[in-house]
Amino acid sequence: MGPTQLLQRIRHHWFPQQGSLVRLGGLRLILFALLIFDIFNYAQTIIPDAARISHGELPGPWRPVLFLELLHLGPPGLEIIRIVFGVLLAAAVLGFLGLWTRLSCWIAAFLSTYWTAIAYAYTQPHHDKVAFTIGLFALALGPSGARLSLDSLRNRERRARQGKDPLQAPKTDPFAMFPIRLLQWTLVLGYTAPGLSKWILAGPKWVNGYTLMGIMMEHNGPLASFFASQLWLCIAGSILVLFVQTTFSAVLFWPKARWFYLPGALFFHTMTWLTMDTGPYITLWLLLLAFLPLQKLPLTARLWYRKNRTPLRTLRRRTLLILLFFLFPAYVLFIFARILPLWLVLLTAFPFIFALILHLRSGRSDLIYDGGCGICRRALAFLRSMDWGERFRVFDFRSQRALHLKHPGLSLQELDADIHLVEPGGKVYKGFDAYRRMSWELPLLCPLAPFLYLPGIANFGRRVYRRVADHRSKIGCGI
Amino acid sequence: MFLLPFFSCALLFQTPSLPDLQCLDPGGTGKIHAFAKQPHGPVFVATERGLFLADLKAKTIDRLDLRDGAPRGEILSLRFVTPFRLRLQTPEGSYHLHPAWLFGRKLNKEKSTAWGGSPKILSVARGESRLSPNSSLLTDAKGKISLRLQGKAKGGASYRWRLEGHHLWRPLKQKRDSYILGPIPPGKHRVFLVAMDENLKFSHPFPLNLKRPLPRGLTKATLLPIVGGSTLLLFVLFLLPALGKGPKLRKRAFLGGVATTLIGLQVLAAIIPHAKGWPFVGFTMYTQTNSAYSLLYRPAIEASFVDGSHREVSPSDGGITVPYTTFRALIPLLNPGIQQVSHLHDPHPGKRSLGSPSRIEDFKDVLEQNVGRRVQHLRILAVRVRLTPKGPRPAGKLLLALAPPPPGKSSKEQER
Repeated sequence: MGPTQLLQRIRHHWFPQQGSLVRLGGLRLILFALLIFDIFNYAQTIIPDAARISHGELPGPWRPVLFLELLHLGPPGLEIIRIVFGVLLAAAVLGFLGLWTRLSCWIAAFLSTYWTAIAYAYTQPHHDKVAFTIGLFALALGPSGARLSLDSLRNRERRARQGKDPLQAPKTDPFAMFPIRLLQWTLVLGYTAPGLSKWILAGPKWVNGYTLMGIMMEHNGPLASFFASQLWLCIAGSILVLFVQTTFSAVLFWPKARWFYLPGALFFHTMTWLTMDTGPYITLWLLLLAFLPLQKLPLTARLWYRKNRTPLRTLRRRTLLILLFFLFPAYVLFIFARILPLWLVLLTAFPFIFALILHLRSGRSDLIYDGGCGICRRALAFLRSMDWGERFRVFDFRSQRALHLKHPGLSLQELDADIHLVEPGGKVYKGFDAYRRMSWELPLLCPLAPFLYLPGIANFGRRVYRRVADHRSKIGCGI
Repeated sequence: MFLLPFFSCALLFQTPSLPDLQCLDPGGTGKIHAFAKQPHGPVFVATERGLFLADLKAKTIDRLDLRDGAPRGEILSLRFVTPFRLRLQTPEGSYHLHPAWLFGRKLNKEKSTAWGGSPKILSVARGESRLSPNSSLLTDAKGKISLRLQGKAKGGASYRWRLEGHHLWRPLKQKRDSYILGPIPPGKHRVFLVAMDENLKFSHPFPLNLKRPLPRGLTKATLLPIVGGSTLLLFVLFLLPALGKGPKLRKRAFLGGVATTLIGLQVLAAIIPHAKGWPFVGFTMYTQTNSAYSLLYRPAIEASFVDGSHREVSPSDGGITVPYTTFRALIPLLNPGIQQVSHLHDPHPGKRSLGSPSRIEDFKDVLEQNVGRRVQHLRILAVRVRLTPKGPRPAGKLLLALAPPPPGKSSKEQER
């Protein structure tokens, strides 16, 4: 391989033309969910420490990390901590929602680095947050708010207002992969460096079994005694740990290696939790998702669920489906609920889980709207952004000439008068009823759906809809 | 093959008051001479091969690696003079041994009458200049400093030091008329010096502020310009070819520079492992190794309740919020018979620091509130574990501290 080819490969590795914006958006959701968890987690110690400082006490020896020392930042009092907490939480929530994403990412990245550094200054720095922190900065450098965000909804709405197709949202960007790659490289270093350190500093003695036995006994996790009592298990475990750590970089260049290294890393963290009482390392568990093409996961889930070739294959696929899409998120929710209020965790998680279940269902409805109408376009921009389960195929009856062949029962006059929803079975809903039916399938609006069936609401809704639909040319429709 | 010594060292005690014990030392115990139980602590056994610790619950006996000032080789007899002072008789003479920290002193009949009071540090000097408490000094590149010490103590003064935040009192090496303190880790540290008498009593501590310079290549003055200059150079190298080639290429070049810098800094942190550069940190954790029959120490707190039950409690049960159960977390609680320096464990006397108790009595109060039961005794223990081919084996627990403190003299039934 010549230098030009090498450069091209490096360029393609970091800046591929087809970098998925949905994948980047998904990663943003994960990192900001983690950040919110982290803010509350550290607040349990940082805020009481700051209160002590405000009362003239020093909570402990202040051993600042280098950047705090260089910036002459001493132990903060309660006033400063309250401001940092408020701004950081606001930035984290906005970053999660994807509103003013780039600004939110920058603020969140800087303040979260400071937030964690304060906690570390009273104790000691840990390595599990390195990739996470660099990942937050990486998000700020990429187009991480282009999809799965309120920013993207605002863009769709803007396009609709300008008379453009609201359904045309960007899917790829050459800079979308950059934050993902940076996070991946940091994670790889985080696994490879400890492996190499063990080779260099400890040598082959590290795999003699006694070393791991000693490490387990020093940290004394719930299963430490069991594993440590078997020398052969300790030897096998040491070899496996060293192999996974030192060769972890294979995931960067050989995609199939993910099938070994990602479960291997999860197994490694689970075992350290059970034998060394390290805690769940939830940050690393979730960051490992950076190696998966998140944008393909819903489709993969649907394919795994539906493809029924042989009973054995079906069983295997559905087992994987349950493990990856249900048990893993359930575990994550369980960890989150230890710090955040359960209702908040469930409320946040509900739309994502619901969207996944919707994704697994077969058959999609046809949504037919008037593409020449500004209000309809804006409504469609909103509905499309909410359609996480991809339940609707959207058609503009003005541009889709073959539509009458698909739905011969619907006349142009009817389509011009109302928005229509045609279910796979052929059942047709129109106007307010179409919106009410759709609300069941939109994860964020689903909790509101039952209220639309309350007595009087339907009549009121139909009347409002009729009035807007009949007068849309007068209220800025743009027909 | 390495199983053989393990089995061959199995030992049956002939003494009727002790059960059969399995010896964890591959060399065995040799002839048993005597044993003594420490009040509220374990049983120490004097043998032909040195001092052993018996774990009657686990039915094991294990050799103690004694530290400075303690006798090497055969021990003929032993008895507890006080709960934290063990008198050993060897063919070479008599010794006092601290049963928690395992350092000792040989008793000197000629010098023992020279001074009857508490040990004292009379002067600390560096070269010809006499130092006052809290003086700031620079160590050599290896973290060592030579001091001239004068003190008074029964049997002659020997000296020990410890880092603030560390639990171990280490000996100073004597070199002609001066003593070598250290090595200390790089950076600024507060250390305490004490004089010790033959009864292992400590003097009032003498604090010093020491600074060990970083290796020249790792000082801020060197590292920051190098890192800053390299970063700048990287960006120039990335951006120069992209100048005048459109915003997309410039952005790509800029991001390339960012990625290379961040990964480079992480690699640098991995090569020079230090967590201070966070978020760029090294990953050299868990690189220590163990071999067959390596010994581990685990700190533990055991509470005895008034109803007669006892159990291990975690530091957080008593209000210690420092993460991880390490010796460091237990420093405020460790008061191994060194009453004179107990106030130094609390940097802010009169106030509770670290969100945790400053003394073992405070810990007891918080624990009682949390468990809702009256605590009779708190024992801070070093739980010893020996790594054997058959897995880890309990090798006795050393008593590091006791609350309420034990009486000054042991009762006769505590001695053999």
